[in-house]
Amino acid sequence: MAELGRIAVRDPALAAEAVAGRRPALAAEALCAPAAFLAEALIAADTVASGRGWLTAGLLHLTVVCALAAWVVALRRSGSDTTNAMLACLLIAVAGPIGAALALLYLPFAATQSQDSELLADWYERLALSNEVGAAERLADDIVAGRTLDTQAPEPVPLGALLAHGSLEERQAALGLIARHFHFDYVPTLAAALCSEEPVLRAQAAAVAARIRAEIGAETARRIASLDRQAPSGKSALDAARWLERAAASGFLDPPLAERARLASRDLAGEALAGCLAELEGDAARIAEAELLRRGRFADFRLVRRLSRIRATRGTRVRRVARRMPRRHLRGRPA
Amino acid sequence: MTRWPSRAQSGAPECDVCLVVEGCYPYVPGGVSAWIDWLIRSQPTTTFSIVSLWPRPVATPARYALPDNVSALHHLYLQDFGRRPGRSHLASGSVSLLADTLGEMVTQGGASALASVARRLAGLGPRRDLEAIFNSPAAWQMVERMYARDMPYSSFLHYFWAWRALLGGLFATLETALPRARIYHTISTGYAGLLAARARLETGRPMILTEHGIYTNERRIELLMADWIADNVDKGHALADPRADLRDLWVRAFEAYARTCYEAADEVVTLFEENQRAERRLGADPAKLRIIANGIDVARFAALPRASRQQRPTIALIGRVVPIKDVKTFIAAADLLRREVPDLRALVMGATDEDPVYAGECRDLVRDLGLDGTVELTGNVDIRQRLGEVHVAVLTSLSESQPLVLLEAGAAGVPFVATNVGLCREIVYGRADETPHLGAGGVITGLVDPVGVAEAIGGLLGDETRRQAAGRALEQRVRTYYSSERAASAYSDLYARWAAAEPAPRRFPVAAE
Repeated sequence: MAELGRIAVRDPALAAEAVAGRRPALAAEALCAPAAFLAEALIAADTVASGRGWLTAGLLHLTVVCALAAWVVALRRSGSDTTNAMLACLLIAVAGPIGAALALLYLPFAATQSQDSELLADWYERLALSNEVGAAERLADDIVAGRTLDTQAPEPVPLGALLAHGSLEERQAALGLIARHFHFDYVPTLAAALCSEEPVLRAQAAAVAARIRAEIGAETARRIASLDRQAPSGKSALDAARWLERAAASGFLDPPLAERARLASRDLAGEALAGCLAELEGDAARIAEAELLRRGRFADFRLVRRLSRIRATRGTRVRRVARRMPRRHLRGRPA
Repeated sequence: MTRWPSRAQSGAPECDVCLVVEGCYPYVPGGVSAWIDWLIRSQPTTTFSIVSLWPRPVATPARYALPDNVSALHHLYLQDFGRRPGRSHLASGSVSLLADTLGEMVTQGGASALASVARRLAGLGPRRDLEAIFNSPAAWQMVERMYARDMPYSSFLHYFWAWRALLGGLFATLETALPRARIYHTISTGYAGLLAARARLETGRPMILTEHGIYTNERRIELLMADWIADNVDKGHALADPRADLRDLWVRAFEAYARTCYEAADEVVTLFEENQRAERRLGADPAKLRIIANGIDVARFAALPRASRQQRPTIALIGRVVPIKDVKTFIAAADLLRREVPDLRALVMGATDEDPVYAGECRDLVRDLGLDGTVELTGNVDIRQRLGEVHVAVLTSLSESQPLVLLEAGAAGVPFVATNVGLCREIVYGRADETPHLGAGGVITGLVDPVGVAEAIGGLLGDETRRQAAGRALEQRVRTYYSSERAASAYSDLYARWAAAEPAPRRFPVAAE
């Protein structure tokens, strides 16, 4: 852990400065907004009362806007938050005295909002990656996100061993795990729990078996029905056939449904294997080989492997071998 | 002198026994409800009041007419908080103390923890404000504090709702007014047990717990399989990971509530020895444990005719057609048995309307296996009318405590093949200390084991002498140990003994009368 140290994403000094700069310039706003409103109101009143031309009024308004713009620039240079000042400046530039009145009304409301933004400063810092991230925190994030393995996590214990030798609490937790994340490999473990000497375990195993039976039954029926609509091919067909075969053998299905699953599995696997054998190239060859190995058909496996290699080398390898072979090796072989 | 939390129903007359029941009587038929109905009727000179606990108001009509000796039926809804937003603001010190006390209550439990919670809540204000407190900023502060302390690595949202459900029930049991009674009798632990524990601590009156099944185990099984609880801590398959997740929070809370009930109870009654082992494991004091087995009216069944050898070989599963009875295993066993006994008749005698989907699956299975002439789903029948046809009764249940059908068939001299659940083994084979030993009343099989069930039935059907001997042994055992008179007398003695006992000191703040 030590070599990881503390990871500074950005210069902490700069980050602190940036955070400080986001503090709103409340005092300056409190002074400038009423002043701007007063100036705009006076210009408007003078224009109406004295009858001076609109050009003069426009020039005076422009002067006020320029003064405000200078204020915004000054705020920005000082590193303060210019959001509200900029908004006030735009309002006054566009709508004159009316904009100034709106700015005067808006700024107190904005001040209350800016209190919240102070509270959220920490969060902003984290989003902006402007603060330091502890190595432990980073490691934990990585583990949670799956980028790093938690090497200190307790090792999983085989469920069979746990059910045989664990405490009652552990054994019950194991059965809960089987219920929530069932796999056909758990069937022997569940069967052992059903015969347990401990009544609590037997009861729980029975509850788990009842639940799994309902789930597997519904899933098997769904899968068989889906085969009629659209049968999968290649590897997915073999996977589907394997699933149905395991469901049929699990003992969770009613006998008629188990028989249907067995038949569906046999047909599906047969068709899929035939398809793969017909292609015998790339993935199809590998899938066929794996399936033949799984079924223990080793002679067929060897044949398929040889044929697929011949296909992969477009027969050149065989020809080369045949050329190199002494004539006596070919003698006495069937054509 | 605080007015809260002690608030007995001062206007209502005091009854002899206040039964506290959760999720059953009088709205759910069968099982524990039937037993409660029997208990009340078996004690005609005792007056009862009933507190029936439910998550929310019950929509179904009552399935039992209340006997005349029931003076009142009260309802307590555990999750009915949430209509009154509160505005309670508490000092951070009070929040901290209350959060710590509640934390202890839901993780450790115990009578003193419950009393501490009551005292702390009493310090917050009058009881009528409890609902408001539960929905107040103060409650929010509490949940934040408990979350930060107990499960900061987990999802706050999920923690919040779990907290609300768990403590909502606790607050509800502390908030409700207690019926006045000389004895409080709860039929399970859980929230009913909490309410009874509160009554014991608050009134000093005796409290009895009767457990048919072990509530905490049932909740644990349900929670460990529950999909509605999200796994917030990624433990993979490492069960030894010490970090607690929400599932653990729920399980620990129910264990803590059970511990509280066991500690507060004066006597803990159960049906059989195996249950006592589980109760001891959960913290019950062995000195308080006692067994009173359920009983039946033996005379009603003893005179029934017996099935003879000349009749068609008939087996019967007596029970509702629901998954927990595992009727499919019975049908599969009948299918296997038919190969040896071609004229076999297999009856399923029980209601088919409780789970129509499952009943439909069973009918499909019968049809698919070509068992139409063999298996018959009779629906609800009076079993006294049909037991005379039955050579062997069967129970393939996945879970039972003490099935009455086993006793009823036994009283009629019908031998039984039953799965190894609840009290079945003890009834069929007898207790280890049974003197004189009466012999086997049938066969006990494994769960979800059609082959074993078929072999056991076949063994009895194929050997008439053995079948009759088993029937006689079971009849004798039921008559001796499982008669309703015996059970009623045991409860009568229990009530009389505790009614005469001096009230214990109160451990809750006492109300100003």
